[in-house]
Amino acid sequence: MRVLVVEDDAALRGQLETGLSGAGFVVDLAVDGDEGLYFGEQYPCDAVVLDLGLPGQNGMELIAQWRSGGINVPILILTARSAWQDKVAGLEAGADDYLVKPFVMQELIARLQTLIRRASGWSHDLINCPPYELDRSAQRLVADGNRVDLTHYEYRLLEYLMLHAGEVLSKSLLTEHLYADEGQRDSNVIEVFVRRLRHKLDPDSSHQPIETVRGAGYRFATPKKQ
Amino acid sequence: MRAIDLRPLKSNNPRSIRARLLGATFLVLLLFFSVVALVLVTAFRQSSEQALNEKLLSEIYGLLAAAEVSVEGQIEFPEQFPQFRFLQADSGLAGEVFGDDADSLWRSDSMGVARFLAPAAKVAGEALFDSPTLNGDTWYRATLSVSWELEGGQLIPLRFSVAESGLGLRTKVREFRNTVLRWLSAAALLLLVTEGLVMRWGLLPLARAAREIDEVKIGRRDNLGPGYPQELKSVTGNLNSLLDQQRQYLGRYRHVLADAAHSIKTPLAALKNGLAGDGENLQQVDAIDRIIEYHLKKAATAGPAVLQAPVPVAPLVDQLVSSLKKVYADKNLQFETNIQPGSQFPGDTGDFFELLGNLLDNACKAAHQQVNCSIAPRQLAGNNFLEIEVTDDGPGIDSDLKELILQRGMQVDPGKAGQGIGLAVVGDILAFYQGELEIGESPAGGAAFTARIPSNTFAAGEVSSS
Repeated sequence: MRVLVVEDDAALRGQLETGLSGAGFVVDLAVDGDEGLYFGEQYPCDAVVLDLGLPGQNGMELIAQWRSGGINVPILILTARSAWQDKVAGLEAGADDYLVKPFVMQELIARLQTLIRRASGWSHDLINCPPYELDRSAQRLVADGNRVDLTHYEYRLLEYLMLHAGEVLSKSLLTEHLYADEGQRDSNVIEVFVRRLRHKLDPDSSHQPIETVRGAGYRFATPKKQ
Repeated sequence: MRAIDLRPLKSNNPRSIRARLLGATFLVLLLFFSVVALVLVTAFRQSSEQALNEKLLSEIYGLLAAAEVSVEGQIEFPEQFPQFRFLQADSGLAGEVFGDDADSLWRSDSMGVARFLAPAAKVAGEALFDSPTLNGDTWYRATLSVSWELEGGQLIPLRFSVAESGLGLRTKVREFRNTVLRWLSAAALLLLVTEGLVMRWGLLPLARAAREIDEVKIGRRDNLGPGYPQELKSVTGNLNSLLDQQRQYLGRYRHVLADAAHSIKTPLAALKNGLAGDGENLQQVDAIDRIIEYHLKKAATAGPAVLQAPVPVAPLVDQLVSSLKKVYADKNLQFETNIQPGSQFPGDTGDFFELLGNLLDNACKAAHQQVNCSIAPRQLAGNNFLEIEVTDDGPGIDSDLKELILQRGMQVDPGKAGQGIGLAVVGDILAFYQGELEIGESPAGGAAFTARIPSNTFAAGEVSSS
C-alpha cells in the first residue's frame, strides 16, 4: 500500500515515515501543500495522510483540488484543529476521516487500513473470495480451510490483488504501490512473486485465482463474497 | 445580583419620544391660545364699550338739542322726540336730566319707576362714564355736565345722562368669545394634527433604525442600511462598524486559537510518538493535551448572540450527521433526526457544532446501531428555549459519571484520564448560554442527553453580568 503523507513538521514527518513503513506501507513524504498537490496528482497512492495547517496551499485547498480533479483516494486529515466546525468542513470537502493531534500511531495505522479497505469496497477486515480468505487484522491467508504461509512481500502483493479483486492491475502499478525504492522496481520481481503466489494458492491449478491479462497485467479472478 | 427597581415609571419619563413631544406641544398650544383668546376678547369688549360710550354721548347731544328749559328750571321736550326708545317701556335705553343738587328734573318714559343714583357733578362740558346698577343689571351710562343759559342770561348747571342696559353688550361679547374659542380650538386641533404628522415624518428615520435593528436581530439583514439623516448617521455608522467588528473579531480570534493549537499540538504529537512505550510520561503528555484542548475549546466559545441572528439548526444537523456517518462508517449506525421546523440556535454556529457534535459523537461511540437526535423550540412558564435531545441504544451512562457531571455543575475535570473532554465542553457551552443538561435513559436502554438553551433575546447586560 502506498501512502502519501503531507506534513510540514519535520520531526512528526520522520515519525510518520518510520511508523507507517514499519506497518508495511510505502510512504511518500511531502513537506508543504504545493508538493503534496504535485505528489497526489503525479503518483497514485492508496491513501493520504494530510495536515490541514500547511505552508503553501493549505490542506482544505488540496482536498478540494484533488476531488474536483477526480482523484478519489481516501484522505485522512491529521490536524491540531479539533473544533467540530473544522471537522465537518474537512469531511464535507471530501476527506474520509479525521484524527486530531496528538495521536497514537497504531490508531492512525488502523484507520488508514480501514479507509483503504473501505475504498476497495470491502466492509470487513476479512476479505473473502472463496475458497480464499484473507484476514487483514491477523495478516493471514486461509485456502480451503488450510492456513497458507506467506512471506511479507507475498502477503502485500496478495492483499493488494484481493482488495482489488476483479480489477486488472498493471505490473508498473503493482510495483509502485508495493515498493518504495525505485531501484527495486523491476517488473520481473512482480512476475516472480505472482508465480510463487500461484504455486502456494493453487498447487494443483484447479482454481487459477490470479489471471494474466496479456499486455495489461494481472487480475485476481476468483469472485469476491461480501 | 442586580437590584430590581419596582417603582413605576415617572411621568416625566415617558416611553415614547413622540408622546413626549406631542404632550409638550399640546401644553404650549393650550397656553398660547388661552392668552390669545383672553387678549382678543378683552380688546373686543373695550372697543365695544368705547363705541357704546360714543353712542350714548351722541344720544345726549340729541337730548341737548331737543330740550327746552323754562325760566323755572322745568325741562320739556317736543312731541317729536329725537329717539323713540326713550318713550318705549323697557327699551333698554334711559335718559335723565339732573339739577345742580342731584335732583331728577326729567326722566324718559322708558325708565318706568326705576331710579338711578345721580352721577357725580363735573365741570361744564366734561363727560363722565360709569356703570350704575338697576334691577340687578349693570348699565352703561354717560353723563354730560352743562351750564344752561336761560333766556334772561342766567346760567344753571344741569347734568344730562343717557344709560343703556349692558345686556346687549354682554351678549355680543359672549358671542364673540364663543366664536373666538371655536376657531382657536379648531386651529389648535389642526396644529396638533399637523405637528403629529410632522413629527411622524421627522421621526421616520428613528422608526426605520428600530425596524432595521430588529431585522438584524432576526437575521433578515446584516447591518443598517444607508441614507440616514445627518443627526443619526454617526449612530448608525458606528453601530454598523460594531456589528462588522463583532463578526470579524470572532473569526480572527478563532483563527489565532487554531494557530495556537497547531503550533502546540504538532510538537506534542511528535513528543507523544517519541515516547511510545514510556507509559508514565505518555500519561503526562495525554493530560497536557486534554487540558490544552479543553481550554482552547472553552476560549473558542462565542456565547449567546447579541444583535446577531439565531442560527437555523436543520442544515447544521445534516452536516454533522453526514460527517459522523463517514467517521463511524464501520459501525453501520442508523441515524434518525427529528428537527422541528423553526428550530433556531440563539448563538454562534461554531458553538452549536461543538455542543451537538460532542453529544452525537458520544452517542455514536456508545451506540450499537441507533442514534436519535430531536430538536424543537419549546416554551415553559413564558420562557422560550431550544431543546436538543440525543439518545442512543448503547449500554447507558455510567451512574458514577452521571452523578459527577450533575453534582459538579457539569464541570468534568479535563485533566483526568479516562474521560473525554466532550462532556466538559458541552457543560461549559451550556453554562455560557445559561442552559441546562439532563441525563437520563433512552427507551432503548442507552443514554439520553437533553440540553435546553434559553432562546429569549439576551440583553447585553444580562450576558456580561452572569
